[in-house]
Amino acid sequence: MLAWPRAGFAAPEPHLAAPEPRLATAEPRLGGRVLSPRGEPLEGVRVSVRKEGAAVTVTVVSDHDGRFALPADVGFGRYAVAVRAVGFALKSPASFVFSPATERMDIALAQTQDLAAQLSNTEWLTSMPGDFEQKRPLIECMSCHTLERIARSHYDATQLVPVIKRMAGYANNTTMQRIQRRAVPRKFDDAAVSKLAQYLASVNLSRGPSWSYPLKTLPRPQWRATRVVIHQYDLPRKSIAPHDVRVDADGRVWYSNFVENFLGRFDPRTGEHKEFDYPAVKPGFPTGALALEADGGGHLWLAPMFQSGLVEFDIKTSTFKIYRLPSNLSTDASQQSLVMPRQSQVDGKVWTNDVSTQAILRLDIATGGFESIDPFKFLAPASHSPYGMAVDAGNDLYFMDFGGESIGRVDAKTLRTTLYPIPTKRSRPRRCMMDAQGRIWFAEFAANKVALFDSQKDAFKEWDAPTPHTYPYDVFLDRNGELWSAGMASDRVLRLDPATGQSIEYLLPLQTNIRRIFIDDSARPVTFWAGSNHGASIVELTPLD
Amino acid sequence: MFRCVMGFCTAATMLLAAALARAGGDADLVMPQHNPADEGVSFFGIVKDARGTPLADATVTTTVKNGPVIMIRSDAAGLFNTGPFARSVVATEVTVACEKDGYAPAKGIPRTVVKPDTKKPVEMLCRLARQ
Repeated sequence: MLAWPRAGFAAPEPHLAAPEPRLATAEPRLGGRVLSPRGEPLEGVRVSVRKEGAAVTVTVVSDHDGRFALPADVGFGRYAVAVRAVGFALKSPASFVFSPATERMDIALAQTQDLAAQLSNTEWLTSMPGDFEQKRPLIECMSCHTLERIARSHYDATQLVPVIKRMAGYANNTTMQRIQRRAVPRKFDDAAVSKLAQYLASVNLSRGPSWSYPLKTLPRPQWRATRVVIHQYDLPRKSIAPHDVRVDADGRVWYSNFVENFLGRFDPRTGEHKEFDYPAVKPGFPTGALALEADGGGHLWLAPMFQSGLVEFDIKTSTFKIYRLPSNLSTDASQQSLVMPRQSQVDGKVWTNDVSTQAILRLDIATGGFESIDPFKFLAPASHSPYGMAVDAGNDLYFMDFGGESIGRVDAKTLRTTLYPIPTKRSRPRRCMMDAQGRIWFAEFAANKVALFDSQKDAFKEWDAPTPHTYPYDVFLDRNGELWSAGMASDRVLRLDPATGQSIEYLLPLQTNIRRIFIDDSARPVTFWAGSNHGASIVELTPLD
Repeated sequence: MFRCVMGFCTAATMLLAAALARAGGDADLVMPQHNPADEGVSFFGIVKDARGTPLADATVTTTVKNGPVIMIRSDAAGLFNTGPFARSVVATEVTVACEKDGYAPAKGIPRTVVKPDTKKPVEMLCRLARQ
């Protein structure tokens, strides 16, 4: 039976790619020092190496003496070298041969010639003038492309209006590699579009050859944030957009492909990559799935976005079963983005949503029938969007109102809704996780917070993300009680200790658009996994303490 | 887009109309701002103890007959506000109750007479007696 580590199970074989603690110099390790253009050691510089012909990039971070050491799995061979340190570019070496004769690989840096190309989405939002309300619409733009693209555009306010409307006509599962259009156009608030156009024209290059504001950068990581190893595994096709990533008991990574009708499976130890394709039940509609979840019986479920309905995969037989929406619930705008089958063995039901109607749907597996529940029916019309989901032992649903500011609960037996408004207004909770005590940890996407909801006590607790404009997408509580989080904006992985409020942010080597995250609790130490949604790769991050 | 024949619309097209009107919250800029004319009754007020001191962090449970239960908390000043319900909600079919650890739970009492078709904010008072 497939057992996701969240349920707790025996540890598998030690992960070959994870660095093992080594005594003294049992094996030669490639390492050296990072020096600034003035020859001073620099802390917090990401040093990445990729072996010639390989699909893995290994990254470590220089410490407070400027020293770095690559893990033992970086063996002898020829490597391409890269660095990430905002404000700096790699001067030398561009490539390096690691042999028994190697003493060290010292990295020399030069000043960068193009600072703007180095900024993360977070740094652009920090640099742009204006208040949060003006910037708020931009947090959606990051779903499909970088904010640098906006900052470098030359459109003036008048030209931006049709551009913004065109953007809203793309499916939310669109990437630069796979542009997909919605079948049903969305309604606009013309005043809001015009206001956004004015703002964007004030922060892009429509008024001159350079930006009218200084480019602010975040400081490099220090101390514990340098004690990390990152492996990035490139997937075989640039169009693959890993969205929800889960690691099974055998250490294999399963992922949903946000833009193509494939379920992916990757083995980081062997490099084996396999895709299982499922049919497009609505030809001509955008392809790809968002949520990937396991049920209690060895099946994986996908929420197939605009293809609508649900997709079930039997891991033993490698076969798919498609559940289609009934005609009375199916329109050209139907969109299933979340699925929650975890407790389907309780009552034979699987929860999902329909973004187009702000509704919850529930599938009866035996009959294939769907019922619709509108949790907001009795409230005045407002922005709502049932999104992140968790279920308790009775298969009662907890959901995040991603359009608003509440957590909702739908009772499995009565289908009655209970709404729990979050203390922070307009916080837009996104994805969540239920821990072993039944408490719900979640990301407040628009409020830059991670939070905890205890449904027994009806109590909330919130923590600010340490870096402004982080916009967390998801959270995961590890076996040590530490809360991890990441998102689409900062290229950073947050590790927060809820007991003390102390946190570490690990900076990734590349611009990395992260959605669902997963912590492999069976690994020693715990290991963070996520998809690089726009970078067609899987990211594995291992803290060294 | 709409396939309504002779005034009769199929369920799917009704649903599509609803979808266009209430598209899920992906982006604030494409969501039409909600219209005050669509707002129905709401309940606001204060939670106090027997001596009249406002009570913070009391749980205020609003229950709509055959509808949802909304659990909010009174703020530092003891204040709460449910926000507007749909216009279809009958004001007399909504109950407001308050509770807090160490106090006996109590019902919220409106300060004015509530008519079933009230669509405006209704002020409530919730008095909790120590247990």
